Amino acid sequence: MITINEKKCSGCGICKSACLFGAIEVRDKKAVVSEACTGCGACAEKCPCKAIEIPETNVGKAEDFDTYKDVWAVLEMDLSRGQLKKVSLELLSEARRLADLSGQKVGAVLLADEMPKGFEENLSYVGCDYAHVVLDEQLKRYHTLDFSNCVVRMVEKYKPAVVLFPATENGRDLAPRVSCALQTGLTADCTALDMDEKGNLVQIRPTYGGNIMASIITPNHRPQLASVRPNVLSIEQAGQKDKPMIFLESGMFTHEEKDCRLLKVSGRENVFQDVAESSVVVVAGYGVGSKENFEKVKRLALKMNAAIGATRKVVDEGWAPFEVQVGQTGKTIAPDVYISFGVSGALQHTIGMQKAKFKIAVNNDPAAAIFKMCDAAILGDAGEIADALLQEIS
Amino acid sequence: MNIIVCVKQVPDTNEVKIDQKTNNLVREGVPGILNPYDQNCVELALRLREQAGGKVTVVSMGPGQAKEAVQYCLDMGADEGILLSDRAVGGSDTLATGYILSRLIGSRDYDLVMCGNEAIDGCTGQVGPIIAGNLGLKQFTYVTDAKIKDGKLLVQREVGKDLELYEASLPAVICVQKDINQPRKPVCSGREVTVINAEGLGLDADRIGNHGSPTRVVKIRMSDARVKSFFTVDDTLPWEERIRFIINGGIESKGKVDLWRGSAGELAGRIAGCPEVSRFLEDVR
Repeated sequence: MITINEKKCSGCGICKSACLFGAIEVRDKKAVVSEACTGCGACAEKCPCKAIEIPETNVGKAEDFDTYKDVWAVLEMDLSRGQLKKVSLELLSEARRLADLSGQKVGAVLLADEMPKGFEENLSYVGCDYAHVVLDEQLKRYHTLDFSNCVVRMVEKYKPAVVLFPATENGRDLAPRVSCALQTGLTADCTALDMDEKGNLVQIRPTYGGNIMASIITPNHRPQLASVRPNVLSIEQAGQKDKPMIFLESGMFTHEEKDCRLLKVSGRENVFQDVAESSVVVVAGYGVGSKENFEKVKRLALKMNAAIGATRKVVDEGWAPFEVQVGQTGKTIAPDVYISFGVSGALQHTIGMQKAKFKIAVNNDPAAAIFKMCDAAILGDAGEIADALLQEIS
Repeated sequence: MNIIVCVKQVPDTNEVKIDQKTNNLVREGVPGILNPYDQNCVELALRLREQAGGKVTVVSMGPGQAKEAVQYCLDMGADEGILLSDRAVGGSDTLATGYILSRLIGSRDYDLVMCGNEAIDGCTGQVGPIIAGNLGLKQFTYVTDAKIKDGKLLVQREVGKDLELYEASLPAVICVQKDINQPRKPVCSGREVTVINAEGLGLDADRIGNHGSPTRVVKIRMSDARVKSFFTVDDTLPWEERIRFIINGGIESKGKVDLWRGSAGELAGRIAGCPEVSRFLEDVR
């Protein structure tokens, strides 16, 4: 937390209003900090007396700090298709942009049982410079220890400055384990990335239910680790580039996951169409008003061959399962067409759908925030219009 | 069997409001709740204890107020509750928090360590795996069910459309998904939370608190669209436009967006008639 230099503090209270967390009070004409302080430093920027000190990380830079370079992405396989998941290319494309900002190269890390289909073409499309590939039968399915040890060894050998992870289930299992082994910082589920002039990766993520956007850096540790969810970044074709160099690594992998056996893998029952992968998504918000109306919207989605999505409140009410939740908690979607019924447009939800290409919103409140960001704003009752649309289609 | 459950008190983020005047998060009167994921996690821990016998210990880290969350777990049925509350650990990021909790857990007997898969305030899901890393244990995240069979852990993970079933030896760390069970209601247990400070945990001062956290928040801002729109009518507009603007709730001023009105049938027809929509409806019909 911050400290107040009482000699400099004039008790003006500007810091109190700058604090987003209500952690500062003015007592006897001096600012006093409570334990609600997160050390974010928003107050220090505003203090006219320069009386606020943010504790600097005293943990100094490692001796080899400057030897870390290049922007890496850890790739993930789509086992059913034998090729890279789309999120892998999203990460590489972003890595290209970050590398261009800072004069670095783009590297990919792949652990798999065999070369993915179209690997070189895909890497070349997004402008990846090189890839370190470890192939082993045991690497077909993800295992925490095996994968994390392997990634850690490669990072220690080649020293990248940045490593991006997909914020999928397995990526979010892997990244913190790597962070712990390397004793470096990790930021989960970034919604935007940037490079500052010192070569720090600026990691932007929402927090407190999307009310606050925090910019986070890892100033004294390398590599800098960040994860990004599928559908958050876009894939851009890179300019003229040489073919990527592919290094087949050996000696990086040893099977270490002992006393742990995968007994079986089964498909889940009653699986919904994956809301994050579907090109048409119909979302129900709390404004549908009842479980019955939610079911109606769900029928409509089925009829349209679209995926059903729901806002957090609908899931909290128990009308829909968590797996279809769209938003900061839940999935991020980028469908071609998004149609919402009774969605007000709270940030927690819109963070997860703003990349949708064509957005239609039905709501009975003309001042609903969702109307400000959609392409067609439809004023009316969600249930009635869902009914009418069901009739229209059948 | 000794089960240690790590929990966190979080602000009920559904309730977080912004003070329009000061632009602050309104904290007063915002209820602190036991992280919903942790409620499911404690429930699963209690069921495992019922099945395999043993003891459930709940640990947490946070300000004094977080005692409430640990008390909630005791009242659900946990045997012991410990809150680590110390300014020295304030401002810790996930790496530091995972380290501190792993030291606390490591100072006790454990067979199974359990965490909620993530907390609803930060939503990182990092602390559980970092604890596992520090203790050198195997981990399972996105867990939807767990049982003890012949002294081994049977654990189910939900990954996309797949359910993975593992058999693993103990000790291990599992991170539990939300809504996998119905958490029991707390009843007054008479047990009390033990509040401790960081002394005696043998913490490395360079790995805790703000000072020992590799990540640093450099800027914080309110998200853009958070302010509920109060529209004012531009009085330079002719009166017809001003009326239209008011009737449409200010929507037309945004240029791009049309506000469509009419009967449900007309509106449904217009949705289906949008070129973007009709294109794929062709395939469906």
